[in-house]
Amino acid sequence: MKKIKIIYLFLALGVLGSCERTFLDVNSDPNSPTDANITSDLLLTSAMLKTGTFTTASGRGTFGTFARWCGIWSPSADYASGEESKYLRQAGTSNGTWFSLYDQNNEFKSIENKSKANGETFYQGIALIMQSLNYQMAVDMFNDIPYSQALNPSVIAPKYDKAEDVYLDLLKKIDQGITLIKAADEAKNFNLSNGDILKSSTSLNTAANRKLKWAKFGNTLKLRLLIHMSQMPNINALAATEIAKINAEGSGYINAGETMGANPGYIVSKPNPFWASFIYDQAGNFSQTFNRANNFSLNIMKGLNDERYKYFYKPVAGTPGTLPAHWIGIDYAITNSDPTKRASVTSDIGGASSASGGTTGLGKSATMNSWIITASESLFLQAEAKARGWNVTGTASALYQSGVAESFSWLGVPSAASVAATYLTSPDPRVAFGATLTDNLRAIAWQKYFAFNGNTLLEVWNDYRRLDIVNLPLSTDPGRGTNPIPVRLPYPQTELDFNTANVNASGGGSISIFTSKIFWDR
Amino acid sequence: MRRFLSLFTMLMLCSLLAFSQSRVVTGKITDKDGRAIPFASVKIKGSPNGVSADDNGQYSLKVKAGDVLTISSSGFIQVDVAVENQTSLFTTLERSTKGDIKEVVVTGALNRKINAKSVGTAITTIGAEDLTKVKAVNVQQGLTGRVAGLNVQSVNSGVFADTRITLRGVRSLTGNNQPLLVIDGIPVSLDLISSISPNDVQDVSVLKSNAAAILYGQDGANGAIVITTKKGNRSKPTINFSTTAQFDKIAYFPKLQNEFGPGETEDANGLPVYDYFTNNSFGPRYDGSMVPLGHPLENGQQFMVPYVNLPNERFNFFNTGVTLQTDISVSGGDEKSRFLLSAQDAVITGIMPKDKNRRTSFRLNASRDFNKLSVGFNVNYIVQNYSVVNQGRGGFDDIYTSVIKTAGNVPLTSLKNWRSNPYATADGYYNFFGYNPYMLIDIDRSTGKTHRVIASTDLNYKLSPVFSLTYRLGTTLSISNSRSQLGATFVTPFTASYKPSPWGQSTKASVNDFSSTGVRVSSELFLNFKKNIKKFSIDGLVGNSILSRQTNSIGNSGANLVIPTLFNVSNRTGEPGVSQGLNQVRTVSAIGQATIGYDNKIFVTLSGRNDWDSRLPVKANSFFYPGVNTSLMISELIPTLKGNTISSLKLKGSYAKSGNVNLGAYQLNNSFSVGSFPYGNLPGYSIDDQLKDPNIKPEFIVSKEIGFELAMFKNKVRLEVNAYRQDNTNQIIGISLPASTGYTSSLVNAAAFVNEGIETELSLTPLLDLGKLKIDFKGNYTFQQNKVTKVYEGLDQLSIGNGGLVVVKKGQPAYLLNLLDYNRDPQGRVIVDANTGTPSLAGARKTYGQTLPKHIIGLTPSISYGDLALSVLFEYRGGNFIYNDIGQDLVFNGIAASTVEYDRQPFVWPNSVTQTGSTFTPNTNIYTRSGNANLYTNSIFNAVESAYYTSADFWKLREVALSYTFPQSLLAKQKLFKAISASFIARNVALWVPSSNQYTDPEFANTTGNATGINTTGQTPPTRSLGVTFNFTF
Repeated sequence: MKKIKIIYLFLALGVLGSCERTFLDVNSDPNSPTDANITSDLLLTSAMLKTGTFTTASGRGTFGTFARWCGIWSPSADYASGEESKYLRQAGTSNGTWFSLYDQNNEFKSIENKSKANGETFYQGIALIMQSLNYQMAVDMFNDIPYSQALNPSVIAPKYDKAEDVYLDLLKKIDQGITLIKAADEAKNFNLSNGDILKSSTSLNTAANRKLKWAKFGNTLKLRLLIHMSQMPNINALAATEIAKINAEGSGYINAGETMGANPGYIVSKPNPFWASFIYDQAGNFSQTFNRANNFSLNIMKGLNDERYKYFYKPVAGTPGTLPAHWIGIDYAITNSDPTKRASVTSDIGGASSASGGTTGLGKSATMNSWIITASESLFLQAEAKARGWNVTGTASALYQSGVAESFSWLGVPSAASVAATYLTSPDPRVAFGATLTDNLRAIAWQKYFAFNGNTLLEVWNDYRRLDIVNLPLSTDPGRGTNPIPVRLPYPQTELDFNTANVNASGGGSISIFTSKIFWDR
Repeated sequence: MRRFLSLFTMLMLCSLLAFSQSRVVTGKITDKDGRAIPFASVKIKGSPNGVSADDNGQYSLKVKAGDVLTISSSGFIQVDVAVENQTSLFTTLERSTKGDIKEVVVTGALNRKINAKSVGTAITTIGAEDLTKVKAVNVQQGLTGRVAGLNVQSVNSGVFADTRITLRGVRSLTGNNQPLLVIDGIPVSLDLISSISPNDVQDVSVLKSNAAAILYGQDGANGAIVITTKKGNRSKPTINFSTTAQFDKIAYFPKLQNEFGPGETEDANGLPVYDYFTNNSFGPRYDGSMVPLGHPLENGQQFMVPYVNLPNERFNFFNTGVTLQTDISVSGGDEKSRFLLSAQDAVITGIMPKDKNRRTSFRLNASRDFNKLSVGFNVNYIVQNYSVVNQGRGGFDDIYTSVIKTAGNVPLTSLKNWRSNPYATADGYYNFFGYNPYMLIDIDRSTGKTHRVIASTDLNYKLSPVFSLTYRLGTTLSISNSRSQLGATFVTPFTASYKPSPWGQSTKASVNDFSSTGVRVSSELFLNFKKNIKKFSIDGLVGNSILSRQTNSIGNSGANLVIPTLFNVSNRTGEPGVSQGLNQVRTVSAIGQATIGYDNKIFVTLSGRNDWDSRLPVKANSFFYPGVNTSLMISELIPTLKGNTISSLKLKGSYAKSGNVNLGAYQLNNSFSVGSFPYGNLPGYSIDDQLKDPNIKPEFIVSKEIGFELAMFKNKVRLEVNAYRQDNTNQIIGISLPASTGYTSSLVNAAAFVNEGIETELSLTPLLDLGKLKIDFKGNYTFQQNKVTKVYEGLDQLSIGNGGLVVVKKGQPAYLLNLLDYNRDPQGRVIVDANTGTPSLAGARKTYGQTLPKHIIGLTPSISYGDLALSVLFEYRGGNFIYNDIGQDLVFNGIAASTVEYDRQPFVWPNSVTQTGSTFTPNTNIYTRSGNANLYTNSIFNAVESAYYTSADFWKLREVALSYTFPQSLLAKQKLFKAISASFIARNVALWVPSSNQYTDPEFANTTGNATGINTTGQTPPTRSLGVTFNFTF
């Protein structure tokens, strides 16, 4: 009897032992996908959304700093001054920007890896071009960055590459991307029509024009890289080669009306991030009271009878007993005890006049695209290239004028074409194109400065550093001391803490934000 | 009480041989309350024959009619029992009034009653008498400061009484380091330790070594606290009733300035400006004049207040916290069955107004013996209901911050009626940068209800005198529902015209609901064996354990609620937020253990366990961990040692390995999350920021310990010393990566570290015995230190949490604070700017001191005079450091005492230098540009961390308890009460810290996890409490 029971016991143990394998095989994730079941289209929508959010709405973060340093926005008197108006920046302040760029690129890198393995060459090409865009922005802010060893799971501390080398490699990467896209069989790219959320003009959004759209995007990005390097010695030879390749490829650049941006299908309750950050929040309130019109930019546009200030900035809301629709700005960094500079009595960032949306201003509606590269930038890039004697189709002045007109039109200025044409007759050297390269660059620099107000803020700071044409005013914060406007950002605390050896090896531990320039800044 | 003396008798009896006798008698030995007396000795008078009872007080022995059995056990009066014709004997022993101290049995792992002599690892047992003597309200209080190696840290003073409990420091750098709690054999959540009434506790065993893991599995790797509840007795029912009221009051705030009122600007001459709208205190010095507070209302009225410091406003904002706890239990039984029914209700109202937490629990323990089969059943139901303020309102000030930063002249408590007082409403409240905290307390709430049912059933079947089978099925079911709500705020257009957003905007209400269910099922089957062969004994088991844990949680949230007071997710515009998490973990184990004893003097225990764990890669999911320990009764092996000086001496040594899968389910593959997707029909996924390792292995701990237990002077002096070393390898850590890798962390087998420590427990009982007056003393000292021996290939340092502020570094103890400092010259002097006189911030963080204490001392002197007893607990912890994050806020807001150190005048930065190239010149004449707002609101003060770094050493008078037991002579006149006692307990009576610590109780921390060492305003201020308890036995 007893023996039988003991035998039963061991039998029971034995049975448990034998069914163990399936009993314990309960570790496949029921909550989220893993590498095994994720597809390129799912990753692409998210990566494009993130990048579009970065290019459109980083004004809430680092790009807003550029806007304030560069005379476009100014904090209202509702806020105490911080380190920014003293031109100081702690390493920790760079964490978010750096993370976003590498996070976006990590997603594009995974798309690259996955699509390469699956023969989805269209996805692969998109991933290469988009990585180039994010790396370009990183170099423009930080100079030397981890590149050749970055985004590799087996390297936990990637080394830093020379900024110039990164730039030159990006040109190749974009070429490679365009080549892959043009040769791609779309049918072999699973669900591409859903995954590709880069939106432009209606005609470019068709499946038939998908390759054209991406090629234009890539070519424009290449031109942006070349123009950034315009002050480098021997740039003309490089530009000649690269532009010859672009011409040979044949798709051209982003044209008037073709501003490119991401749009996953924003709706009122999941709005465009610029709309949500700067115009109206979901409760229908104004989104923010921090940024207001900066007197520098506002007053120059007023002086030039440049209608666009009415769209880059909002009129002061219903102050009793005053004229309707007037615009009031703030000198950068006034003290917060000045009641005439409070948010309620100064000009907000421009956009639709009601929470239900409209067609004018920076923030037009909750459902608008998140711009990535604007058509006016593309036209100004072409104008500058041509002015420098590079082999771009068209005349410099015509490209310049269509860049200005495109800016009016993008903002939704009524009768944009004729208003722009009238504006362009101004003899002011900031408007008139002039005859010499110096004249041309001055006009282009100022018109880029106006056109990029609130929408292409990194390029505003880039052009200021590269061309030194727009004479930006210095902060009035007494704590500024003798600090000039910074010429770069400090490396993030996360790199100093977790990639210490490499950041120091590249000299990153001893950079000065006032004197350590980006390689193209000469 | 079972006493030490019985050991001697037992020793003699064990070696005796049994000769043929005429028949077998079986017996049971109990105390007068019916509790079994284990291991009592049973000897036939005038014969060498005898046996010792088992752990249930049962024995069987061959006897002849007419034999007389001498039954003895230490701590009881010996009796002689004549054997006549009975086949069973039931003997009750009376407790002797004097005797030795040492427990004969301890409760080991799996609730096995084991002979204390055979224990080769460190186990401290606290009996019911010790627990009730200090009148602890809960078991955790009863253990604090009383067990060497046990660190009970109260990290907050809220209604949840957050505590962190560790045994022998840490064994996992990032995983769980808290011990396993076992109540009546079933592992349960550690927080339930406060739900057990000390009145219901039979004993508590603290198993300090990771050897507990071999029987309990991975959760036992940090040791175990094993609570055995009373099982009821065999006399008539006993009813125990006790009630406690405890009152908590804020003990102190950080050191604050009380000279300067609201202001955040300076005029052109650098003089402070009175700003009526701010929560910063950089205004002019208080002068007693009438000043406006806040913007004029729409009707033109303005709040006028005297410009004086109101010293008690911040203090009076907080309530007196009250804990009311009632315990009732009924126990009883007969020869074959026993039961204990108990209930507890604890209602805690916090020092934070309106915060409340109520916990009610019911427990039934029942058992019945049937011949060879005994069956036990335990069920415990706990319901917890809480409502606390929802701190922070989406990134704004928490309540404590908004109260403590309120300028001294603001009559805060007069602004309580935020609905009716025009200066207290969202419109009229003076502060442009914060909400009225009274309003937030009313409209922003987190509420929740948790139900838990813990049930287990035990079957014991005696197969033969040698073998028995044990089967235990346990289940824990928990259901929790919680809701977090933010109320709507309303302001008029007039307010919106001057108050910045969001305070000057109307906002809509939002609600976030979360519910989860969890089921834990464990099944354990053991074959136990126990046999004596001549002088050898063997006691062991083999078994199998299956554990399954499953949770399912669902959350939904809605913003923009349409009807502002209707907190329901369907009452919203826009899309709802939804989430779901499923989790399943299974572990199968095979277990074996055997203790071999020789002559009751030498014991060796061998054990081993193999786990198969679902969280590991399927092909490598098995791991084995063995252990061996030995115990030598030196005083028995060398009888000449024993005498009036040495009563007993035991040496012990142990080796144990344990494995621990410090992973959640599904941690082997990179995962993807939806973020804000889908947009309509468009899906999207993004890569999670943590990189995973598909070949990850468990963490391993190898511990070695040696120790001795010495009793001297007839057991009046007892000393136990244990020394241990733990090698912790293969630590599973999410190492921080630079974002340039594309990830922010990587979950890998990384660091290794070594823990070493010495635990000393000394008791002098009695220290002094003058009849009615008795003085006892118990003390313990723990030294613990660890060292990180390996971090990760290519890394010498890694962050383990709290935003990179807490790190481990190769060659250094875990954990270190890692803080931002000023730029300093090679001599450590602060480099200041030659123009501004202020320092700059160094780019990279530097490591500072360790966060875990090195030295812990607990001293518990007690004195009793007749029925009156006074006991005191002093505790020291030291050798560690803390970062007081609260300091940044206090300085930035101008309320820290340190901001008036230079009387708000420019000053020369102490011990500073200026730098020209690589030359450093001592600074004697460059003053800071400002001594007011412009200086202290400078980002340097808000970014520097080293300035708020202090020693965490403290001495604490943690407890003073005075108790009175009504004498039996008084009770003899009535029949209702069998016993009555009353006690008064004061807790956290006094705290002594180094003068550099101007902030708070260094025990406080912003986490109960491993990254302790940082306190923030997330903890409410420390409290002092006074409680009174009455205890009635019917």
